[in-house]
Amino acid sequence: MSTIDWAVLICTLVAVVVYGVFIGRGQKSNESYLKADNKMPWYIVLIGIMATQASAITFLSAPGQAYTDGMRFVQYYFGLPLAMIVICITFIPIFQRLNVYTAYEYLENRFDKKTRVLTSLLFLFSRGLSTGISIYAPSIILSSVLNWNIYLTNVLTGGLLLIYTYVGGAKAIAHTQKLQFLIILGTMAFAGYLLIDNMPNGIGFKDALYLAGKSGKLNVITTEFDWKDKYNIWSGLIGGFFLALSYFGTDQSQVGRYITAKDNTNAKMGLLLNGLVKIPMQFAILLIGALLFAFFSLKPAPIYFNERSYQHLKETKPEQAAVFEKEHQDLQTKFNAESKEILQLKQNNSSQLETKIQDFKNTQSQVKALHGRVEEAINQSNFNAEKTDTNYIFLYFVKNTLPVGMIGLLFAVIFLASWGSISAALNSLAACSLKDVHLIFKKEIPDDKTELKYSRLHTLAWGIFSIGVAMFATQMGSLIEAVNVLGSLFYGPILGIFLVAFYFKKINGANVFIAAILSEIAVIAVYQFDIVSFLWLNVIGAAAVIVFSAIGLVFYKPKAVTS
Amino acid sequence: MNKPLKNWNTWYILLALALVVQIAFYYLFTKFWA
Repeated sequence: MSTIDWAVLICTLVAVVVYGVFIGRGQKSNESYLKADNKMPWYIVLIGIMATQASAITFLSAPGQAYTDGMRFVQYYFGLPLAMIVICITFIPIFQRLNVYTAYEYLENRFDKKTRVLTSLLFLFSRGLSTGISIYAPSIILSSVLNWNIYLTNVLTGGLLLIYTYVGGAKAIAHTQKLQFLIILGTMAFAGYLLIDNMPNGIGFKDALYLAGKSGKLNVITTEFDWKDKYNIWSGLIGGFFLALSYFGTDQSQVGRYITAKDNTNAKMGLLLNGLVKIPMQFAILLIGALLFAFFSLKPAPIYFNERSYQHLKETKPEQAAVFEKEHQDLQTKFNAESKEILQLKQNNSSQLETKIQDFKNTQSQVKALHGRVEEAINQSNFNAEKTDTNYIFLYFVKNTLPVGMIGLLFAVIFLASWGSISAALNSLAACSLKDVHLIFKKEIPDDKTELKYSRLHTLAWGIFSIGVAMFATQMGSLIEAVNVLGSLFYGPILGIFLVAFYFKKINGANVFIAAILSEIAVIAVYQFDIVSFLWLNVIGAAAVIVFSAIGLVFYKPKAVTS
Repeated sequence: MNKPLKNWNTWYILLALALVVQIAFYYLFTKFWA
């Protein structure tokens, strides 16, 4: 990176940290620290919700996903608007009426203390580990692309945000998320513009879309049903609905954002608008990936976007790499020429267009097959870092095409996107470990000042824990993927507990507690036997809690029901 | 049913309709560029 890029990167990051500390200074009570005094307007709630969900990987992985698999990933979000409606009708009025600090607090009111603690512990376990991975995932990419030390990058990714999160709590998080999200969206939109602007002479947006479409990258809707297929309209609508309901309704990192709202109206407006803008935003990010494919159809693409992994292969198996490179060179030249020829034939309305498109598709299959062989060779080599290259496609374009200044800003965006979700996660982890575990077993209720001190210590402890997980992640290897699916393993049963609480008034704490444990075992078994795609695990987990609780009623009828 | 609730129901229906319109748009988008 150039000196200007370094200056842009450092100034942006320092400005956000200083702004966070400044706006969050002078915290006097725990209510202010964990709930921002319930003063947040709808637009801050909206941005908070979106910035918490969108991690760095969202902005790096989604374009890569569209580049390799097309835009069908957007279907994953189709159930989200429907989930927003259910949360507005059922969840928000209850959370607001009880004035809760954590979502799980309601479960003590509805069931009993042990159900609250169990659910909160499930959340703490899965969110605690996944926050560590949220630090590690962008760090490994940044350290690879910028040649930084991975441990130092982990500290930068997880440590700087800890300063304003520790000092200013929910208020600092909400306001920095606003700033971060504006920078992220502005930079991504400008990067999209530069992508079109950098196409070869005479080739515009429509031509790029035409090429992307013919390559199968604009496949937004896929209607074929398959239990094991992650992204089709059915898994998106049904599985995505349950996932969004669990995530936005029962995950404290999201609940913690909208309970900061001024009132019911502002919380609902934030969530409903999230339901309106989330899919178009994701569509736009994926479109960048599809256009990147068109870009690299017309201009030389590298043999492998993850340059460090490929370099390792080149050093360990030079003969094999040389064969790959020769084949890549020939295929790439042919592919670029065919792409240009297609656009030329299209312009002339030539009858040869269909034949040429078929040739183009055949060459595309050969390029894909070669990429698969390179990936396999890299996987077989003894390289102890990230081997796949999906997350590196957009960054390769950034590093090699964007002008000075924009590169630094784009790298800052990666940090800021991570900070938005990690800071909200740390705040929610601290709220749950303090309110649902620490204070619940304490005989004396501490005064507000002591509680604020505890909240800060919990935030600090979770920050250090998450950085620790990120440090160990380098040695975890394939375990990382297991940690990534942890959310899906726990979300279903947690949602099931809440659905029983809301809609099945006859079921009591003892029944739901046992049902939740049995459901968790069932979900892990389904996952282990690889029966369905992960999106369906949420549906199975939630349904299992309801069914097991209902069966439990046959054997154990409660004496009295609380509501 | 009180007035604010009625208003919210309208917003819920509008959001659901917006989802239907979006899915229709994406379907046509897929077909058009394929």
